Amino acid sequence: MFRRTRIASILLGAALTSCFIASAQQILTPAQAKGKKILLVVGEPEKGETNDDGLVKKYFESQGYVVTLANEDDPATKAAGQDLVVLSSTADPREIGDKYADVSLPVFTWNTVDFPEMKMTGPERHVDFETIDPVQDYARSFSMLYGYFPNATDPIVKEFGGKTQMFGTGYLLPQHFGWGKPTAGADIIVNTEGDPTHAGVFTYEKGVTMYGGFVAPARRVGFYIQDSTFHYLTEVHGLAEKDPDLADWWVGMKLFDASIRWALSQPVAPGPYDPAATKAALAKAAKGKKALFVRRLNTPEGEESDDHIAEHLKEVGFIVKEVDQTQPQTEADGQDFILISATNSKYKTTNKYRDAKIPVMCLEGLMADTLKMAGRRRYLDYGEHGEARESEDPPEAYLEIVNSNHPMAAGLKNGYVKFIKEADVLKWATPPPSAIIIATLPNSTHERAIFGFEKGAAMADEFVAPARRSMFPVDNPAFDDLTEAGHALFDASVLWTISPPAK
Amino acid sequence: MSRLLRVSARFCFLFLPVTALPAQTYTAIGEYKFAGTSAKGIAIDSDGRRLFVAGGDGVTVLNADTGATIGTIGGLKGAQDVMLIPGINGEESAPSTKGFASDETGHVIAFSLADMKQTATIKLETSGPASLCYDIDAKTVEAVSANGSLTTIDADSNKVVKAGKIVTGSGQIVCGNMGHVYVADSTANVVHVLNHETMKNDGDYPMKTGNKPTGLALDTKGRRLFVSCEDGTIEIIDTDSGFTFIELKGGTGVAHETFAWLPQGKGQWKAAAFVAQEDGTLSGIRMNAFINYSMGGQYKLSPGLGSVTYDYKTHHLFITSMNSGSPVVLVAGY
Repeated sequence: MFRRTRIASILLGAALTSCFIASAQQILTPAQAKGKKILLVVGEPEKGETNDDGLVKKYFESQGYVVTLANEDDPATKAAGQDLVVLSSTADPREIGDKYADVSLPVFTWNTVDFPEMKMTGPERHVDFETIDPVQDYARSFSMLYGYFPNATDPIVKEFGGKTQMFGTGYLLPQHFGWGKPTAGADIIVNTEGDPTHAGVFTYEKGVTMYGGFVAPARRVGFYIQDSTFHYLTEVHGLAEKDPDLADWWVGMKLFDASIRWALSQPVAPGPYDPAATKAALAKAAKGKKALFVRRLNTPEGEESDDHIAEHLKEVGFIVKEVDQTQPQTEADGQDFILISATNSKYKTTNKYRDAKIPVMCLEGLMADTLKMAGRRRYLDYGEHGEARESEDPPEAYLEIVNSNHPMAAGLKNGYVKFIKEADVLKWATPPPSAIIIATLPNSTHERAIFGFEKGAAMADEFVAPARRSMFPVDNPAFDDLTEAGHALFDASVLWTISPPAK
Repeated sequence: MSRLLRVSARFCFLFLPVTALPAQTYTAIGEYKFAGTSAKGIAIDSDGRRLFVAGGDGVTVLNADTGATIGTIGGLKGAQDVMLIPGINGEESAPSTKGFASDETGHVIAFSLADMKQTATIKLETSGPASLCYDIDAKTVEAVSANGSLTTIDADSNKVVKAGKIVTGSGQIVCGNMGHVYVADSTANVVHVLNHETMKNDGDYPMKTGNKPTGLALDTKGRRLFVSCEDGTIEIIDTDSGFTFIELKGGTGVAHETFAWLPQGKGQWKAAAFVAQEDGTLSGIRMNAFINYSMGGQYKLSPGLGSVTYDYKTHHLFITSMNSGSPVVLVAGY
């Protein structure tokens, strides 16, 4: 029995390893997307007013999609047999309400006021979402002409060769726009107004946690256009098309097209929760790799826990080199992976390992700023729960998984998971929007506990991740106190961090 | 009133303003008839008060105020297009002294405005009808043959600077900034951006929703290209990005256009592109700002409108057309 289980775990581990390596999301090509069926939900045109619904329909048809129109008061059952539901802002958000929220088809929406009903944002206008009016909000409607891609490694941005930089969202006219503030489980594709929490374009993968604990039944996309701004989505032609700087600036239409095809593509399936298989997958990936374990040597604080971390690394196959926090970072030369212990003092570790061109996983949340994983404002950009005299928040034992389909989630379902056996100190940070969020602290969704950065993503201060980076909140001596799920998350996080970056 | 200046009741529609601003309104105020078999391209010598009309018998010269025929410029049969080189005196504009005309067989002539005599003949790379525009920066005349060639002619020496075969179109052409020549190609449904310095195509502007572009006008300061399509769509393109940011509804059929600053004089419209179209529609696209244009008005003339030119002295428009088989120039003013 034991042998059979072990073999099954090894096989599953091998499968998980390949899953980690091949975690790049595939987007349908335009040719593959042809023939897909789109239900375009629109409203009644206001008397004397025009909108772009007709243009959108025409555009979809020019791309080979088969478009069916639905009115705002049609039942959601009209979506049966379709491949994608598109919600125009012309549909009355009070009429469509939440009828498409639990539809198990992907939904692409620019009905900003309906974001809350779709569980894509919270309910507060001007706080959780906002529509910008070119008359009422004249200056802001100009500022919305400038978007920012925080993460060039995102599959949508990569699809059209976008870079981590600003771009022109719409043609140079004050226009109607919308933005939303999605939950931690979302991927922010475009920031607007220079605010990392204002998402002009954002996505939810199937299975991630949306607002209020709602689990995404299928992919969801929020987009910044409004009733009559589709035709202003930027494009470039002529000589400017041959200038890479100009061509990279006017990409609004490419972004729209890639976002539609992402929504239509196969979602990433979460792996099963199997700690043994995860450990086996880690062992397969770690075998023979050199790990630098940075810790505070010869100190009683957390020493036993650090020893056990080192033993665990060795057990799964790493060749471990242990160095003190004060040793120079040249110790990392020739290594494959750096693990930074929470026994280290940020003050003594300084800015070391920030620039390392190999994957880094940090267990000390307070180092989020020196490692460019978050801003520098303590208790605003990073902080901790449960530390006496340093936090007003009580000790905590649970994390909330928000991105169950990501490999770092170890197959755990969304929701609370007991992370350490007894409530203790847990660190958090609020990373920039390019981070992949796996878990947050309970009742505090902006306090992200487990997260990672893909190689090439813009970290804090526009620092481009030289290799994968991850944060994992094992304060000393909590490694010994990790639950089974906590250990699985640890192994899954190490495995993702050392796996080849998405291409 | 001249016997040739006939105010026709059928032209007495107002050039209806869309906005409530007190813009002066264009009406048709006359028609100049002259001998010949056709009327195609047209140019005006505002200072000398002469109109130059390309047609089957060459270039006919009319008095711009009376319509009286002053003379003809020989050397071309089946003239297609005519243009005058703007005169410059230091920093100031000066009366034109020279013009160029093209024909339907691949020839261009230069002529003097002083005596209306041909001064040079230039053979183009390809035969077939050719259109002309003037690059004020390079001081060159660009001749685009509908059969696929671009020829750059030094406006002073009349010598061919460069010539080559290149994909063109049968629609109107305009000269822009940085060596660009825009060519409307109704077959490919694009505007080609040709570069006469490199003799290459720098790219195409596709139509957003319009079909069969034929008419072009360019605001070189605002870098706005006004493209009229045969299906009635007028697209306004930002030439920096090639992006159509406004679409308006025009007339239908083959179009010709001209762009003018302060077309109604000081205090009125900032600028306008005027579009004359085959179905008889004359459209005035009004500039409200560099990013804001609206249809200032539309005026229905008789079908078969040809080219249009704008007179800075009188703010009149002159449009070639045919009336009962005879070539005419229609006059619109206020």
